[in-house]
Amino acid sequence: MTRYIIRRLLYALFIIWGCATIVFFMLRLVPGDPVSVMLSGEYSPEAAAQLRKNLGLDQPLYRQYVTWMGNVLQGDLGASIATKEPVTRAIMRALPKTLSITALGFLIGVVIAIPTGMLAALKRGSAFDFIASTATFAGISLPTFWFGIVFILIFAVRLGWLPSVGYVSPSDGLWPWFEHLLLPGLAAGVGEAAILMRFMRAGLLEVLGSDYIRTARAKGLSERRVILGHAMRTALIPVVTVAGLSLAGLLGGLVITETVFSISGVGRLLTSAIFNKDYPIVQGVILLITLIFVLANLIVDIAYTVLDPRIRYG
Amino acid sequence: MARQPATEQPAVADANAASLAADGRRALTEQRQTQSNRFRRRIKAEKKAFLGLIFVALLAVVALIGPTLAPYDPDNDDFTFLEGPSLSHPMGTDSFGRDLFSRVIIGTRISFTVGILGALLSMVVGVTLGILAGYYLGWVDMIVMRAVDLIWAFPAIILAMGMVAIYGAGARNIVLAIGLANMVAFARIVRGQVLSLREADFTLAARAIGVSAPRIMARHLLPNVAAPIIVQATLTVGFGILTETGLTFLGLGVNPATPTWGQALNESRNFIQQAWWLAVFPGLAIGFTVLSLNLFGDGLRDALDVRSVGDR
Repeated sequence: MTRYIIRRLLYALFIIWGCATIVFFMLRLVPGDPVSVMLSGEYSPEAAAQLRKNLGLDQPLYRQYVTWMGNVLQGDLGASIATKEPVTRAIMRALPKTLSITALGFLIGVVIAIPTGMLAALKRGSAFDFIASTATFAGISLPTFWFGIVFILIFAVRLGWLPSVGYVSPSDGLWPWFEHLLLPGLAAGVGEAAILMRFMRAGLLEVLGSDYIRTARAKGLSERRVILGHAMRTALIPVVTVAGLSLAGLLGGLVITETVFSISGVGRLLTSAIFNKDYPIVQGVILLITLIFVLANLIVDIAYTVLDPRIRYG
Repeated sequence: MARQPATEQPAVADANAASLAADGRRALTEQRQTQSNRFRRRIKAEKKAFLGLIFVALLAVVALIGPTLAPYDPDNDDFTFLEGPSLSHPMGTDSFGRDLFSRVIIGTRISFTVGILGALLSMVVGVTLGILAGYYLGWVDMIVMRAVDLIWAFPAIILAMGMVAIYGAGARNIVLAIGLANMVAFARIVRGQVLSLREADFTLAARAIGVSAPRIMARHLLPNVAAPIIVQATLTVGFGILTETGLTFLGLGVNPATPTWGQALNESRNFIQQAWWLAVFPGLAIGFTVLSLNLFGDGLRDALDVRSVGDR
């Protein structure tokens, strides 16, 4: 197992290095002169030369690359062209908002998916199973940001229960913070629940047909013990994998959902940076989200080895 | 008494012969059944796929003859603005006084076109890379698959936004973004299949009689990996539509002057207090389209018994 984990760690390092390299070349792939694109409109040659120097574009490519990588390793992603603020600081200001919604969305997804998927599998072919499976299909097919708009329409505009937009820091009160997070979290959670429920149902159905479940029943164990003590333990393994992988989808979906709720998280930071052609910010956010995705994959893979004895002893 | 069997025997023999002939004909008919016939039967057996196919076909017709079906010119802004759904405007009117139903119908075309072209691009590139990696192995496989792993590390929407950041918004660039983000799944699926097929008897036989590698890949391997490719392509169209609508919603997609579902949803945000229909109907149009494609793709996967690579 240790050898597998070390190999997996090394490969994750390779992927992170590769992603950083791709992100480095992003700016260099901009058609034409990236400096004139970024400064679009009227600008003096001095301003262009200064920006070129700040971005290191006046250096030979290999030196640009080495400097950029060195800076990234030290957590220096450059400065925003529009505000001159360090990219890391801009990201750090936005990140807690995105992570709060991600965590809540993930939690809501798990809370809905596990019991619903379990019941759908146990009552296979019933009306409940049909409704749950249809809802799952709808949840996967509808865009997360649309759920956001509809939830605003129902819970904020019609019922007036929750605030429609904005974010409040937890330091300004835990309830206002939670109240503002609930709708975006719910919008993110619905899509997440749909994905997880599908795997929960399929996983449990597969396990319920296996020999060791028949043995457990033959031993005279109660149905509750068979399901919760035996079947669920195995059926949850693929759900854990998918839950980790679906984090990327959750984060990706949030990039758009944040705009719906006017929350200035990393997604909104990225969108406005693309509009403003603020490439250092674009590069920083893309690198950060990719890093989170790669690390989530790594954690899932390692968790898998711990959860699944076939890998641990294989 | 003695005649009875005599008269009966030919009758039995005739019946046997008739039954044998019928059996023979049946066997012959079965033999003659082409692969596509069997495939169609399996599709029908898989109700989910069949239902999805009907919906997708309906939507394709709407996309093709949308301008004929739309009751009004989608750019005609002569109507009362923000009028709720009625018989004359089943989905109401927007903030410019345009008929939303007509705009949703016209929007089908752009979403379908972008989704299909994106899926085609990812299929062509992904299948080519996957087949090369799986057939040649060695350094070709190593380079291709490491590149694929690298692209896989970027969440698809982030990759698409990165592409838009570099090359700008617009339908063409969205197609490129969808193509790049999704080709990875095709490459992985095809490589996996080719790995087992490259050692199959028919491949070895073709190689033994001196058939060239490109011909083996095109004539022998490709037809055998068609099923998972078709399934993945169907699901990718749906994913492409979601990407297009998401980016257009953000203002990073198709030209805002074009009637699209994403653009309609974007506009709805400013009038959410007054006009619920602006948000609900375009969203349902997206949902119904992607649901139909997912239903078809998923059913097809079951019918063809294909294992797929997990979605990102």
